[in-house]
Amino acid sequence: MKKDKLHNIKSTGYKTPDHYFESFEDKLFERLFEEELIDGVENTGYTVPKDYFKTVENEILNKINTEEKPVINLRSRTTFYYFAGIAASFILLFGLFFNNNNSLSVDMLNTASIESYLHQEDYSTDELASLFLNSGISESDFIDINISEETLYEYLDNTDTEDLIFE
Amino acid sequence: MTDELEFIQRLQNNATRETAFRELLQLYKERLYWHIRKIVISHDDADDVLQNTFIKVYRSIDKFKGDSKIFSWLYRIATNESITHINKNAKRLQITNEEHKTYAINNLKADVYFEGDDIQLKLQEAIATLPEKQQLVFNMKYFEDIKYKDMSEILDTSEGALKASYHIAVKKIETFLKSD
Repeated sequence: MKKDKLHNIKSTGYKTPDHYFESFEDKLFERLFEEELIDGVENTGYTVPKDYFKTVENEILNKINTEEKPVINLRSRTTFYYFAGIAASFILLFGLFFNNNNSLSVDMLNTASIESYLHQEDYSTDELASLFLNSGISESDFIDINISEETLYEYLDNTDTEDLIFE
Repeated sequence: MTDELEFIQRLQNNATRETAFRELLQLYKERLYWHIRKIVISHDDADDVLQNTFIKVYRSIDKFKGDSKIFSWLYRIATNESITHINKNAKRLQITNEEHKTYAINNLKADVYFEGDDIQLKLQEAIATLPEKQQLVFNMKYFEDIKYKDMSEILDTSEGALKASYHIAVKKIETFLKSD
């Protein structure tokens, strides 16, 4: 194809954003001056007291030589905690075994107080039921009634047994 | 030449430096941009390199002895800055310079700052296949029409070697364009 000849291609096809060359100088000068500003800063501005570096060396050496603080023996402190722990255990034991005159038990509470407490604390029946872990529990565990055979026959005679079956 | 010497003196004089530098920018920014763009391909890279080039020129103008023309000096700095930029990019992407060039060319189709047609794109692909020196010589001669004498100063290569490079580059490109 004739168009494919090299001499037919006169330009690269590259272009620039609009007004690129017009704005280039401003952008360049901005960068130049910014960098010059930073380059112009040769030090941080911090100063030290007069002759600081001449004296600091001796000050450090003096401190190293004179300020030898006493070494704290860690073992003595551990022993103290050890004995303190034993003493505390004894105090606790005495407290538990010899000072229990005012101990409380469930028997000391009357039923009305427990009911009132449960009522005030707003326990739901589900929450209370969850406390009963014995799965074999039945209503009869709480009712101590002796039903005579006569009463039972009488009951069954007067009741529609079909209803009981459906239940 | 006298004008150029005087211009260099103005660039090196603190009192006149800024005005002279603005003149230098006016004269060379576009030419150097296109020279750089052909080496680095993308506009963003070209913009970076153009700025770096002029910053380097501004800072080292005192060291310019006037041994070569200011035009050659500027082109030499721009060329070196472009190659350094490509090397850095290639290193960052952990690829070779040649792979980087191919990568840049592959991105050209999607580049909003490329409006070339298929044949122009193919020419750029063809140039990318050349060794670095041949690419430089071809671009400078074919698109910028820089004289071999000036090119010799910029690239620090003899005129004869440049002519040979250009001749080889043209042959390779023509073969590439005829393929497919």
